[in-house]
Amino acid sequence: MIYEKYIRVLYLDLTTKKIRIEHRKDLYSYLGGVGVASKLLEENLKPELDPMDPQQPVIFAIGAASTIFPVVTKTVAMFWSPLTGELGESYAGGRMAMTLFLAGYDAIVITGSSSKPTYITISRNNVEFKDARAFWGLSCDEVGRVVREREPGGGKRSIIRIGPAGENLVSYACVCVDTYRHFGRLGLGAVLGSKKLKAISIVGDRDLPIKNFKDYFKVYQEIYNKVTDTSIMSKYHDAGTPVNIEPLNAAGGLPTKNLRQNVFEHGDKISGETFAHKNLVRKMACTGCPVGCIHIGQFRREFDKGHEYEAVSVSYDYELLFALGSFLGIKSSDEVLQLIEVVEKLGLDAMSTGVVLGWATEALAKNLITLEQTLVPLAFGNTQAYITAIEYIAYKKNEFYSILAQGAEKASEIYGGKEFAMTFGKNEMPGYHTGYGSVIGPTVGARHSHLCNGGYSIDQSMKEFDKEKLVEKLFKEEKERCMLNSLIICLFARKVYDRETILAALNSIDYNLTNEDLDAIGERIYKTKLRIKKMMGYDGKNVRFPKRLFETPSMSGQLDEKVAYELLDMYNKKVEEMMAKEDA
Amino acid sequence: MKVYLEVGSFLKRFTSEQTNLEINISGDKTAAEVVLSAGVPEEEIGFITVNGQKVDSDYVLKENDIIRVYPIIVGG
Ligand code: SF4
Repeated sequence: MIYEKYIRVLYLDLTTKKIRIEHRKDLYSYLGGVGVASKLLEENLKPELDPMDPQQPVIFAIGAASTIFPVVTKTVAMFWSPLTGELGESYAGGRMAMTLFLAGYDAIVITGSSSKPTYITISRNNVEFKDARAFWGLSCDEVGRVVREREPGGGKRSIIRIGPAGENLVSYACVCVDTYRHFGRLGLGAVLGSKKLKAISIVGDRDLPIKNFKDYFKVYQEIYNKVTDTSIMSKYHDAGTPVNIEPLNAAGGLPTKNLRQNVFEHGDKISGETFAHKNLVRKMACTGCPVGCIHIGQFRREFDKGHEYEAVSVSYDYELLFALGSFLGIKSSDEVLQLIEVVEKLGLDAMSTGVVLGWATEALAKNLITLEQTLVPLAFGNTQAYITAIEYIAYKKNEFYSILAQGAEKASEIYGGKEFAMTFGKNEMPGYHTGYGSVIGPTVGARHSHLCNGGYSIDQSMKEFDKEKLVEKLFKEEKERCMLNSLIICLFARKVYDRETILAALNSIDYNLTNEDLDAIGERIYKTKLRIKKMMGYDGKNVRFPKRLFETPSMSGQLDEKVAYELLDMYNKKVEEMMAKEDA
Repeated sequence: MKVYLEVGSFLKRFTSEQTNLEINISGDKTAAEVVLSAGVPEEEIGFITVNGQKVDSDYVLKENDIIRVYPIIVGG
């Protein structure tokens, strides 16, 4: 809590409906965000029970600098992922961090499960468990609307909720946050579904006077100017991440048609430029961010044959254009937006959904599965078939779709085709086939995301491939991001928040930290995550790489499986050495 | 001698909104030199192709070469 030497934790138990608040001085050395959330997950986890057991905890936490400085907008969620069977960690922007901050909570721990559908309302002085039976079955946007209508606090309120996919325990169901933001990855939606928790509404309306305003404002302004007056962030507003389609496609790093190709022959039809010309209608921002990188695109849909049209708006970014575009061979921006809309309504992770469907498409072509199972003729470029298949996944239409709803790894274990089930540590791949960094990064990353250590970005900046250097950079970046995610900075602004800026920011609000402290915090958090992963049964030596990664050339040329395993060993050794050391 | 420079939608902000430039150069010039002198800052250059092939920044240009500059890959 700002200006206090403790972390204020709200504990909610859905089974007993008990609420308690604790001021945890012992968590202060974890700063906030992912540090605090990791520690709370470690404490509350029940390793002897199933990951989806209702007793398992879900943690939400904001960071040490949340809302107080520009572009520090994220809330972290930590849980036991039903998709990978290990560490679940996901970030969302929107208004949630601001409302938690102004409601006076640094973290929330949710345990237990409700016997009937429930939603929770949280404010400064009150927490209530409310009946959500009438909401069960509603899509993410519908439930958002009804909670908005019922609950007060507009403007200072954040609403998070699950859709049918979460209710039906799809392992990669997401949680929708406010408008167009998500806890997308690793299946938090299913975990809330297992607790019968449909939505949470948070109202934050405290006023928080800033002490020592002069010092604070000076730092604030410096950061604000860096964000708004330099080109570091303007590219995120102007072109946004969809700009990536063009260079990745030209360089041979764009995963296409289940990574059978690294170049998409119709890449120009789904490029950032095409979306900007044909579909872009506005841009939005998370609360507390002067950048506004959220690109909203529109497509026209006929109400019914021969009737009028409606304009449908959805947000799009690079990862969505890859997963529901090139990866599925979709040839127009309108069709990509149609797929995004279905995923959004049902409450699925777009990246996993696209990659899972890529596997299914190829498995059908190779006769590992049949049309009787898929019910629709899945084929690259067939948008209508994919729309129906996405609905079948969310509702687990038959046995095949129930298995597909558990991810590409699980489906390939049962039906075969592991060599083209494009997962890293059981999490579906992100949109970069850039080199060894993009392969090793998410494999060793604590949550198997490209955002754990930015391996794809290291591929781009490394002039010459060097094994030692790559492993060292990944390891260093993984720890650094543990520290950044304890604040919790939007990672798009990581170049704005260098060490000097972070220290100036935190020390202007009464922290007293040094560079060495930040190193120690990063390492402490990383070690906590690794301990949790071990509790969940993870062993870094047991991961596999899908063969396809070494068949289709990457942006850096053909990759060698042996080299990948060598890099993995090197990384694992570093982890072992760190774990053997005492905490700094 | 004459070379051609193509600039994509994002980078054209650095070339006064021009996307296709015809450039006269004298003596040996590298692809990177031409891109930089057209106004694209070094930190914004992802990579460069000449006649459709990715080249190193020290590639020496020939008559009628078509240079294309791509932005860096962005993300978290
Ligand atoms: S840069 Fe984009 S994602 Fe990051 S805080 Fe700003 S609007 Fe949100």
